[in-house]
Amino acid sequence: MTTIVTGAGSGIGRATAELLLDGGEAVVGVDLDPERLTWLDAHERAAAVTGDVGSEETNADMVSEALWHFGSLDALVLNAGISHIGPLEHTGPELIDRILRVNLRSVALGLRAALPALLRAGNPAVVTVASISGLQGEPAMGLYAASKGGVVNLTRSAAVELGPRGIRVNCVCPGPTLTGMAAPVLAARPEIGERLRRNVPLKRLAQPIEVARVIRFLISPAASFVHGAVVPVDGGITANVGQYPPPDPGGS
Amino acid sequence: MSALQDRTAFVAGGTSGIGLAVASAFAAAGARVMIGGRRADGPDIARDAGCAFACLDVADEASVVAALDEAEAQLGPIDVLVLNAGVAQPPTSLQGLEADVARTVVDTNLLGAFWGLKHGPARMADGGSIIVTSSISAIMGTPFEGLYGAAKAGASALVRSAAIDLGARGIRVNAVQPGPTWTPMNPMPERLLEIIAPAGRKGRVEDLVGVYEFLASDASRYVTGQAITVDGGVTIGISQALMGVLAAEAAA
Repeated sequence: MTTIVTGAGSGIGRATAELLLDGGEAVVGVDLDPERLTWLDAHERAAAVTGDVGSEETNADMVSEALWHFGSLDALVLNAGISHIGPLEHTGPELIDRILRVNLRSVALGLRAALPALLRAGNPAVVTVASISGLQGEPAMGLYAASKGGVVNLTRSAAVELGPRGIRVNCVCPGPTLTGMAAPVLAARPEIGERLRRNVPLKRLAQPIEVARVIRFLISPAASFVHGAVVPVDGGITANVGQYPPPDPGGS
Repeated sequence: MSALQDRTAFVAGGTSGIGLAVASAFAAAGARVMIGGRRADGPDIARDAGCAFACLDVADEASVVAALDEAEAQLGPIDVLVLNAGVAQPPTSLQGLEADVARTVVDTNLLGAFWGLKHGPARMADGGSIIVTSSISAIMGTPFEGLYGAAKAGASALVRSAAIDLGARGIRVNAVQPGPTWTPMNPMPERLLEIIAPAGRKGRVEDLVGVYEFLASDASRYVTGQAITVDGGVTIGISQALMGVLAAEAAA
């Protein structure tokens, strides 16, 4: 099986690519920064594509690489994304375009580019990586949340459209995860990490591998009738209305 | 080694359908499994599936306590608790539902899950997993089974609250919401099941088993308080096949 993973240079994307490679599968890793993809060199069944996932060219390249090196494309993990923290009045037109380009336009372009190859695969599947920020509103993350909300709903429409042609399409929505995206914030403001942890019923943040395992499940035959599903991987945050914090160990 | 090797599991409502398929799969994966059920031939069914058996009527709190005690005594602390027992509602409008039938629907489908969530955790190991079988009727209105849907919606709501309560112990609680699934007992015409799902085919019990294995295993260890819908996309939009049939009918 050959899988394309965008944003494979770090965090959830890298964890997913590693998990698939460890299982003997082939991976095409995509990232904007070539330095972040050098880890793929150690793997025989891996290929690297450097480029902007918001461009048609990069999306075409990643599909060509999969077909050229491994002969097929079976699964597509559209994970690349950027976060942005800042109030709406400080989010100008260029920033708006950039967030939407990397987080949402990339998913539409990725689906379009991969479609012909996926249609020739035996049991094709797509997973998009959105965020629980795409399910509810959030302060100072409006554009990020909007872009991820777009990913959630684009996933559903793609599922309705592509299901009859045999392609399964699902979405994962990670909660707070210890990735490169989160690390600078947590390092600079440890109290934010503590507040996040308190709001999670499981009382901890996720490791990238914990999201990767859910992605692997969704592209596997074990999820053969899971289609158009939106799966939060958030330690229970979205199970809570939020009026009361979840209990602490030993608490009532 | 399998993800469920040497885990202990109790499957309430495991003598037929989804529950039996799940119990058999867990046992085949190396788990030590006890099935709880009402049928007189339950012990034979359980033995054939490689499982132990306890008499269980989930509508009766004392019976739930007794069965869980038996499971703990025989297997040790329970790692995976599957609350799957349910009854279908005889298809009728709300006006046509008799009081005793209405109580049975609620007692089994909603309170049955509640007794398991009330008494199960005390007999479980920290870090375990509880899986409740709900239904897409929890999130979507359906003709002729209104109270069934209401009971299942209640079960999905209980899952969210239980996940918050039990998060500090690392016990995860999730629901599976199957869509229309083809079984010999399903009264829905096979052709309808084939066209209703955007996935482009009918759902089968085998499509559900992998999702229970996923939720029981460490692959989902940051997933809690969620309802995983396994419906081939029925709840996310109208399938192209169904639209085609309706369009042809309207044009005729």
